[in-house]
Amino acid sequence: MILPFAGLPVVRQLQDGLGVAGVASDQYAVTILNVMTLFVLPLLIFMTASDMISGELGDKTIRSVLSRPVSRTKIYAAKLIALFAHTAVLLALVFVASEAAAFLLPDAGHAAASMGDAVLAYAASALPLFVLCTAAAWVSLGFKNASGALTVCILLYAAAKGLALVFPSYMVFSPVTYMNWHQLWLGGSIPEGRIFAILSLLLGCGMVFYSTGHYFFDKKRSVGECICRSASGSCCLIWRC
Amino acid sequence: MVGAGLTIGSALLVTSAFADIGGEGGGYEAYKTAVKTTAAASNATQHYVLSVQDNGQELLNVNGTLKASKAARGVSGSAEIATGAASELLEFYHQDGSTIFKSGSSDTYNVASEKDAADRAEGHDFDREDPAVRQGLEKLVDALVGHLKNNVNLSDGADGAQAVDMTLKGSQIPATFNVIGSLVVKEALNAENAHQDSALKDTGVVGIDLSRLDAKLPRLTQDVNVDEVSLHAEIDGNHYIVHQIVELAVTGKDEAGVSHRLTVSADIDTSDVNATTPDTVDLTGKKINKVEPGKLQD
Repeated sequence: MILPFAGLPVVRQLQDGLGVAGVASDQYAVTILNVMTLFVLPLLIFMTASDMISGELGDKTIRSVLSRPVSRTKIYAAKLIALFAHTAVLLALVFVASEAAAFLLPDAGHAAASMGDAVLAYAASALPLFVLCTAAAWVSLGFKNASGALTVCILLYAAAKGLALVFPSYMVFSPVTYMNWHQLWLGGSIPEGRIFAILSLLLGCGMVFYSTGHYFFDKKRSVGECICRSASGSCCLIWRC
Repeated sequence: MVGAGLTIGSALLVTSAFADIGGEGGGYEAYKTAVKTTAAASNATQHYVLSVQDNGQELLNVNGTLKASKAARGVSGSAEIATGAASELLEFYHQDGSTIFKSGSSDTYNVASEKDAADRAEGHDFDREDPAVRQGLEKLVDALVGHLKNNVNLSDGADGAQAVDMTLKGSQIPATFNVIGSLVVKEALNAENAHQDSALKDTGVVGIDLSRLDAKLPRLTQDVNVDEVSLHAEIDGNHYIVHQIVELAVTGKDEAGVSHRLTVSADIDTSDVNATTPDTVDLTGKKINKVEPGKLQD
């Protein structure tokens, strides 16, 4: 919430000192989004995912959920939906804050006119972030402490970003490369072909991460052994440590 | 459930591969190749229209042709410069080491001869370029362009012809480019105005009364912003750029607080690649005005 306002002095300095708009008020919200999707939001997603999965596996609080008459499929789905919702709320907060900040810039009238574009960009940026959620959850399944999962998530993300700079042609299949794909949705010519290709890549990655993650979660024994299952077999009634 | 998710997910991944996700920057690469090929052509004829508009009103229009040949070290062309009501026709030639200008309204040829061969060699050494430097520059440009490659659309036409389109608007233009671009435009406009204001209106050099063509470009001082950049290029089967339109829109306010939207557009048609001979002019018996080459460069 604070970050969008923190950028204001920089832009004002450019405008007063050099007489150039730098980031005009109508572009402010999207510029903030560019920074957010690059590292702030991924970091927050990694923190939440590692806490929600590795943390609960580690301190064994996950057992209180697993012992309820709910299938593991539903539990894993619920965790990811919570992660998606958390991401969506973060995006909405950033949107509101950056639009509010944009109105503090001169020529604020333009900010209102370009709000449609900004809404589209924020909505589009949710997809790669959701894919990142499924990937973070997938990585977190392999850890029993939140900080370990968080560290590995950050390192993997940084590595993917770094490799994209060094080997751009090999990293076209990495979903991390498309964190700022919302920019494709703005402006005059929308490259439909590119958008379709990236959309199917992101959806495909998300589904593969989700299905394999769900499989690992379902087969996970590390949370204890079940000695007595419910009649349907979908949930465990008695656990042995 | 797991199986279905995996199957659909993998199918989508394969789809993305077939949808040419690896073709990132296909349009950019095609354009880069075409620029290099066109620049390497030894001669060509270009017809160009340059236009500067302020809030939709045309301030300056330059319409002309240019024939250039590297091998013959010759250039010839004409330009019709129009600013509002006033217009001026200019002919120019570069032949045998001298540059010749002629105004449409007079029959005097203004000739600037380069003094010696060394001077000539320095000015027209097109070919001696270090390939390593060139490659380094290319890498640098590639890195700067980065994800913008995604915004270059490529469409294929008949006989290997291609069209490249790119439109960047507002926040699609990276903030760094925007700040630097805005500063450059702002300084250029101020310098232009300073030049116009100064008493140093040297009208004699090319024989044209430039003061008559005062384009009255607005002096932007606040909120200068690059609003839109667009490029359209048509490339033929031999990778030559045959038609190109570049447009740049800059918004800002002048000292009085009035908003301006300046659009600069260039429309360039290239033809007769490797089949052009620049025109020459025979100066015998013509009125000649000798000009110092140094003065011309100012």
